[in-house]
Amino acid sequence: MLERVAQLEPIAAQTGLTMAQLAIAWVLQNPSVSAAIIGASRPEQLTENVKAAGVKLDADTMSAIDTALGEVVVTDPALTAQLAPKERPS
Amino acid sequence: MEFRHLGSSGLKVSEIAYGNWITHGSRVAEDAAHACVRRALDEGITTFDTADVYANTAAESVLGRALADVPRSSIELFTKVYWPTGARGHNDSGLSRKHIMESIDGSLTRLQTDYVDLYQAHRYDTETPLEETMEAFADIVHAGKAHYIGVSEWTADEIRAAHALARELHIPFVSSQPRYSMLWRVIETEVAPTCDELGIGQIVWSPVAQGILSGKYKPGQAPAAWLARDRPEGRRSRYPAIPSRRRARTRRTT
Repeated sequence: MLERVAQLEPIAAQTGLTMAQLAIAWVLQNPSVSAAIIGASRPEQLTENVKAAGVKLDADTMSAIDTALGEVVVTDPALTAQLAPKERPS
Repeated sequence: MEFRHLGSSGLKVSEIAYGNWITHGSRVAEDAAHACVRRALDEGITTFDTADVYANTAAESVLGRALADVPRSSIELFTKVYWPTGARGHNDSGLSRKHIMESIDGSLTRLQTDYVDLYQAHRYDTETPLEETMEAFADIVHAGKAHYIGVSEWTADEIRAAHALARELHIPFVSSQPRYSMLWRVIETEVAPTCDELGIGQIVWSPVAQGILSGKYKPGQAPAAWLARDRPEGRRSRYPAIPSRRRARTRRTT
């Protein structure tokens, strides 16, 4: 999987983004998404990652990402239910 | 910063939100946490997401202190209820009316505010009738303690059922908080289309897949438990605020 992820590096470079910025910008391309949550342990990470706001990724970039990641992308909708607790946790 | 409506509601959120899962109250020291919140504000982030379970309530307290001098109307403050907190007694988790009512007051106290903008059910509670949960949320909204209601990691069917009740109860159920990234797209075929139809927006967590998509892990290195069947909120060992003796005792009695 990490070999696939490494193939995102030239795509990010081409768009002038860091890999993290590309990842955040990617979720924001989906109109169903209202916001992307980011965490930080250092203020500099925030300054870097907020640069993903307002970024438009073109269709070529989006399909290059899909090609790079290939089969490591997880899409099974049943996983939402499968990962949920079956009984109330204590 | 750009702003988007949260679903079809009138509430606008910064499209990049600041979350303090596994940072505040645990991995990141108080002064660094405050510096991060300050920087987030400086960068135009207005939406702050936390949960009572993060660092066993300590994360809410840190965020409350960090935002104490910020005009309340200039930010959107989100928290969640469901996972066990506090004494971890038999009623200290889930979405029962009792636990929800007790939890909202605890969260408001820690966040130093009279209301949260969004109160989210952190998971679906299989042991509580959905009607009971939604009626409790409705009372919280009508009491002015939360303005909007949301869920996290609920299925499309669960969301649809809750939305029908929310409509009957005249409360705004406006958001879903799923894990979503280039690598984890499980919402795309069911949850997201259902939410689009119902006017519910996605607030997505882990867009960088816990750092995997930042490129910091090189091939051959083992990243954190990505895809592991684990509590997505992190292993219990990440919550140092709970004494291990109490944890052991709780386990024996359940």
